[in-house]
Amino acid sequence: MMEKDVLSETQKGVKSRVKLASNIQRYGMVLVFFLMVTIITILSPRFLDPRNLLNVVRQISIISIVGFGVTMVIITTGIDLSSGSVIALVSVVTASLAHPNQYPLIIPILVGLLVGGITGLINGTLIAIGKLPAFIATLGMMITARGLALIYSDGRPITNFSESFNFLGQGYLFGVPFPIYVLALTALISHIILKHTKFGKYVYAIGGNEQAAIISGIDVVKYKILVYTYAGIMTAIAGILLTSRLSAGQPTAGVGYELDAIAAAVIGGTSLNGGIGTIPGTILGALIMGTLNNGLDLLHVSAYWQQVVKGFIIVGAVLMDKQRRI
Amino acid sequence: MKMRKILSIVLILMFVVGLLTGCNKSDSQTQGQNQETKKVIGVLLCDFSDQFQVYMKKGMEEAAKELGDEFQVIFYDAKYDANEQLRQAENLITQKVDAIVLMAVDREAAKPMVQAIHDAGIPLISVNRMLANQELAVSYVGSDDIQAGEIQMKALAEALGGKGNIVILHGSYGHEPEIRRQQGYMNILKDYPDIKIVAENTGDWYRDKGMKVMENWLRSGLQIDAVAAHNDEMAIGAALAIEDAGLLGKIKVAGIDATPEAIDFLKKGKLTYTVFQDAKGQGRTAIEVAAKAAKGEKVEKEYIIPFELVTPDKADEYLQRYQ
Amino acid sequence: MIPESEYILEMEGISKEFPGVKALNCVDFRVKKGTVHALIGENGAGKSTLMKILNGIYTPDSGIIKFKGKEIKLRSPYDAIKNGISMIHQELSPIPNMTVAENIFLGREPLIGRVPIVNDKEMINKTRELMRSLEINIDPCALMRDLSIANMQMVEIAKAISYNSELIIMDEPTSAISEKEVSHLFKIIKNLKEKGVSIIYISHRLDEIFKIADEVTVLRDGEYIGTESIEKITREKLIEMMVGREIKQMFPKEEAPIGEVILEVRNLTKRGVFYDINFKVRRGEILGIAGLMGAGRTEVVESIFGLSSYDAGEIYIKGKKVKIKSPIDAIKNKIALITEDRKSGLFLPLSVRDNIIMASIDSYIKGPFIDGVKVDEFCNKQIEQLKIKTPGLMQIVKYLSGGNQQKVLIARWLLTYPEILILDEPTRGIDVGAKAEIHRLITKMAKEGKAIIMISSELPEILGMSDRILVMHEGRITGELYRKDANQENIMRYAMGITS
Repeated sequence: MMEKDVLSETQKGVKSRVKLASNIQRYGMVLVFFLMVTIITILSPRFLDPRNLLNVVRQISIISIVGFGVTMVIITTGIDLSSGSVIALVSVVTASLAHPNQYPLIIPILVGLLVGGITGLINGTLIAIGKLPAFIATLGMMITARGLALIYSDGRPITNFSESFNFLGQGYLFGVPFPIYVLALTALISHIILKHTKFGKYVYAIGGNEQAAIISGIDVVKYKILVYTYAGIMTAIAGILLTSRLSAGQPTAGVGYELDAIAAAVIGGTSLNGGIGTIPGTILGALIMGTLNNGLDLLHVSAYWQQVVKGFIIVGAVLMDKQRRI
Repeated sequence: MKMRKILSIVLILMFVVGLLTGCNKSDSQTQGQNQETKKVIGVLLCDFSDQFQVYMKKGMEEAAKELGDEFQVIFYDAKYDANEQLRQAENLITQKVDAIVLMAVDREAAKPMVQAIHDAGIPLISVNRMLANQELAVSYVGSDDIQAGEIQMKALAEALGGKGNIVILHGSYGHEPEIRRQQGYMNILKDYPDIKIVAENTGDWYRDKGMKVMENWLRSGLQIDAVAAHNDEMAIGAALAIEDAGLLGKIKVAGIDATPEAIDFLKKGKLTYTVFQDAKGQGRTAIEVAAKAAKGEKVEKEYIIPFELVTPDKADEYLQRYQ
Repeated sequence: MIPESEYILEMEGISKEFPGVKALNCVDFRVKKGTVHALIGENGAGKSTLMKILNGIYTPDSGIIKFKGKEIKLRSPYDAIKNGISMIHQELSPIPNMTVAENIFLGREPLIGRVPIVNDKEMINKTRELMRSLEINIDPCALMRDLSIANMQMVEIAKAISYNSELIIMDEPTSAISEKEVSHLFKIIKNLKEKGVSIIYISHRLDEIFKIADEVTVLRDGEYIGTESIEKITREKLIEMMVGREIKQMFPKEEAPIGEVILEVRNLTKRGVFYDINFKVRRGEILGIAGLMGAGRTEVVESIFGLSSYDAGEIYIKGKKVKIKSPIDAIKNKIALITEDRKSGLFLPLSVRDNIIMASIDSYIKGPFIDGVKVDEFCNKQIEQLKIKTPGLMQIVKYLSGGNQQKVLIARWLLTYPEILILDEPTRGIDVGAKAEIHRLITKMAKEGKAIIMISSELPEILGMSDRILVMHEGRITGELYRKDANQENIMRYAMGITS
């Protein structure tokens, strides 16, 4: 009896310590973020101006939405390099259907989502059934989709949209930019999918140990295809928002976005080794990058130095986070 | 298993079709050369997706059509990669084309490439961008980016009454036009000591990046009277940010290139000025000069297509030129 | 007072804490020169941590290490080797696409003169010499990936010896090799001892310890329990020291009513791997499969489970012929497989909860979501029943001890409510206490009417648990024995392929 009591006592101790440790892990990046915010606020009080804060969130909304899909892909130990180019392809296709009095708003949106979904489906199929490395499959899609965007638009931007389409990227609802609502909704849906559905659990399982997932009777092929398709759809949402925001469907849109999205996910704690990662983390990663961009501009840091500072802070933040985890 | 089989068959089919169509093209090329009567002009551009180059290419294609069957014009896209362009030039040299039109990704990096083309005895026409070793080319067709910067800044400075705060959106740092357009700004600003540059940053020639930078500047509380952008895309981005902040008309915005969309923004009063660089004219002239050179006719050392300031009242006139 | 020179290694007051776990608490550990010193304890007792400190992988929070009477600081395995300490790790870490010689000389390749070009010839010759002196028959030029697991282990042993260290740590060196290689290893150990080399020997197999060790130190829950001379201690006393309680029966075998045939395999063949496998398993029966390493036992069950294909033969479940092409089919047919290598079955970065539910998620789906309350309820029940020691459901499985990890795996499969449960080496690398619990679980499941197939390389386990034993040799079933007829000798004869 005595022994049992002692055991449960130590177990309790262990329990609370583990909780603390995991909390520090989870919130390490939050600390980094608040540290950054504090420093920027001290140097430029304008940072906390609500309009500026909304500005920052709107600026990160596109990368974050791409990042949600990319996060899931990376959790399965995959990678998606095609996001930037898919944004361009979705952008020109959507734009061509969004002229005033052409179709109801739902048509360009649905077609855009379909285009994004199909690119994701192809990525997933090549990876899961064709057994191609994700890097190669999505690199191929990155190049192909950019080319298709140029072909479709003849290399020129497509402009002149209906009022309702312009609203998506430029409009305000109750004083808050509309893209922020889209960001919140996609974040919520992605988070729930990842944490509370079978699909989400299997995403973690495949990344945690693919062999074990196969043994556990998980249809790895099917779920991998689904993950890339989901990423394609998220990318399409981002592409539609960007098109509306820029008032143009551009075949050159989204260059380099794939790397920003991957960076947001990784800064937010997603492991490139798979099995680890969260949606709130990715938002945090995007916030850290967005705040940095915004803060450096607010402080009028010389543009050459901005790049040096950004590089340092991104690597430094992840390094600090890793230190905490060991 | 079955899925896999079907997939591999589809992939193989795609591959084969790709090969066949690719082969056809090269067949026609070699045929053209074999007939001896057909002269080949190779065109090396920086990036087909760049708006300006799209129109330049259009001009080139029109000129090529007018030249008729006697000439064949082949286009290459370097995707802003100097190394890729070198590789493409080497291919043209081995094919022994009759003339090369070159828009160099990088003046300095293009030096050995220009030397090699010269050594191969192929007449070289540089377009849009002057070469570092221009003496090795038979002709230059283009405009001077310094002039573009000067025209734009002069107009802005006068509109500001010689006094005020400006911000500058640079192109990608180190790119040829970025350096020269900025040089043009500086040439003018020397004479306007009361105009202050309060912030500058790069928008990498892109609309979205120009917009983000402008949004941040607007939020930072800077007193901004005018935006000078190295190209129209970034100027449009800045204009969208200004519109969103409800400051339309309070800040002057100027770009360079006079793309149709920029002219449209000009008409709507969202842009103040843009500078017309006759993309089509440059392309058209370059091909005409190259055709002459290929036939061994004498050509001028330089064909300067001048920049022109576009103001809102002249917008329709310039829009016409794109039709 | 013992003169200092008697000890080659003295570790004093070593403590080490990980986030949430006190792995070692002021542990003392001394090894006499030229002896084999066994280090034992249940999983999670701190043996591996202590040895990783000695190998320079972890730095201790406090305490000192004296080697040959001099205090040393170990910051990396390289430091350890420089000081004359080498280690055979429990988990093999071969580089599969390099040769045996390259693996052995990794990081200290002989060069041609001063030029940084590897002298392959010398490296191969040295390896050949090393293998000859150890009487190991492995080609130095063979690729690591082509070797059997047992041979990889032998290479790993040869590598550790090739550093000419004065102290060699052997962490579970026999967990992946068969009886034949074990006796070979013991010969090597004896030779090393004669040369004055000291050995720290970690094993869960008490038989081996009594055969080879001079002294034994017991750790429990990160605490030092005691050091004893092997001659003066009994098996029972040792187990008591390890678990802190007496274990009455190692194999709690209970007779379960044996019912109808559930699984029948007819003429199952995979060319080059196994041939003409025929057997039946009945409800309530535990069928043991014995054999040496590489006999094809794992491959047979993997084919039955749909993890790999087979060329010919049929599988019948409850008299009905079934086609099993993937684990998905197997699970539909109520088969569960707990694989040989724990790591290949676990989702290490995920929580205990996620690991437990992963094969049976469909049972907790409510609408589009997973019913968290129901999941927690099921998981907690399993944790209680299987006595899984974990700080909580959200604990990452990576940080559990081997025995608890194995229980998590078993819990996952129990929730698929299998009728046929296949366990491949269910107690490999697990301490005595947890082993007995797993044996009790297996017995309980048999009593519940499940058919159980258990592969094991430990003869006492096979003999203690099975109702019937199949013995395999080089891909064929060479013998079938009932519980009452089986003994170590006849199993070994069949396993060695001696049929007369």
